[in-house]
Amino acid sequence: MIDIAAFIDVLPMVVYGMLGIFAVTAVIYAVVALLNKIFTPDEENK
Amino acid sequence: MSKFDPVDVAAQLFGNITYVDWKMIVMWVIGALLIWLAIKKEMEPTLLLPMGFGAILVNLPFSGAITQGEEIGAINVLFDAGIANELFPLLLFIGIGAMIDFTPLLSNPKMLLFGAAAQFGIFFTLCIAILFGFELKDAAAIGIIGAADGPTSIFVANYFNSNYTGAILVAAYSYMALVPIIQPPVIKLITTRKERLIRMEYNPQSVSKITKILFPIIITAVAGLVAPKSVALVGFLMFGNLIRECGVLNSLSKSAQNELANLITLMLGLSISLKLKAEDFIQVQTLMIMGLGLVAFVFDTVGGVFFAKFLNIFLKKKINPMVGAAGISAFPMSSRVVNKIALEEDPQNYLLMQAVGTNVSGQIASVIAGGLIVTLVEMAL
Repeated sequence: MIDIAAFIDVLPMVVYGMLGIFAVTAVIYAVVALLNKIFTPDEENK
Repeated sequence: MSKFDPVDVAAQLFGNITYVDWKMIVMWVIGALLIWLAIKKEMEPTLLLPMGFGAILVNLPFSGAITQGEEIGAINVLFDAGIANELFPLLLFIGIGAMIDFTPLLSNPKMLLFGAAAQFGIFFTLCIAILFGFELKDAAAIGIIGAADGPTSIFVANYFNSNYTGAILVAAYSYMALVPIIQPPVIKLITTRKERLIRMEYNPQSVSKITKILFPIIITAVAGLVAPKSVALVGFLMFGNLIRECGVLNSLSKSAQNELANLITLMLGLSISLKLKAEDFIQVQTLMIMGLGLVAFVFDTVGGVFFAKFLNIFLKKKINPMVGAAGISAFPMSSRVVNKIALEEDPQNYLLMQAVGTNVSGQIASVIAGGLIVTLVEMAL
């Protein structure tokens, strides 16, 4: 019932999965930071 | 002489009773339990109530609600129309997107990282499910319980045509409702009192309307380019948010938040009950899935908290690690839980807005995680 070999095989998926999420999130973070820099509410009111 | 022999009529009317077996009775009890939790405990009532009723409906002998031989049942029609092709969860995402105000996140975008960290439970649970002998596609569907997001769970479980969709969804929705019970002991176990007392200033940066409008469009494009499998989930969520933020579709936004979301939830709950048939649901694996679902929620919380602790090594202004726990997608319960624990430790320590920022970032991250898990598992299969 306990399949240690399959468990070890699939462990890299944790690393790739978390790296993937952080990579996408980092891109979104950069985009949001850029948007906040370009479009400030003050500029919008001008 | 009458054509109706009373004995034949009685046999015709009540003969079905002889086809009731113990598994059906167990499913009726489970259905009744779901309805009780929905009504009495107000646990995710919009979904648990139709699911509970559906569990009874589909587990009656020769139920006309489901396909019997040549006769097509209404529940099967609903399932094929909205779940088999992933339409219902995606439409529901339009409503959810219209409900979410991303301003706390946009004003403090670094909270996005906590949303990412709190998806750890998904991948960890996938590995544990594999360890216990589940196939990869089923393990992925079980892991996604940790997304703490019903539509994402439905989408992924159905994408992989998992044999355990019913159990996965019951676990996902039950644990989402149980976040106020699951998270506090875990948070207290892995944080010190000193950490829980950390105060965080809340200086929200005001966000322009253009940013709010561009955000859903750009996120969709980014998600589509980086993780194409997630673009349907992210895209529908962000479309709903665009309707909300554009400012010219207020009535559509309200319809998406109310009528659309309510109708889809209703049909979703009923059609999912097709997966609650006794022969599919009553098995040892269902109990294992309930256990693994709990593991997913616990390790989501652990992932978020430990990421905050890790960041604190480098930061001058420390982050209260509890905020990381709000990175799971269960909105808004998780942020309320964090705020409540903070106030229990220090009645002046308000963390609600910081936690809300993390919590909405969890919404985005969980959807991206859903797309990523589909991509990774397909590569591995």
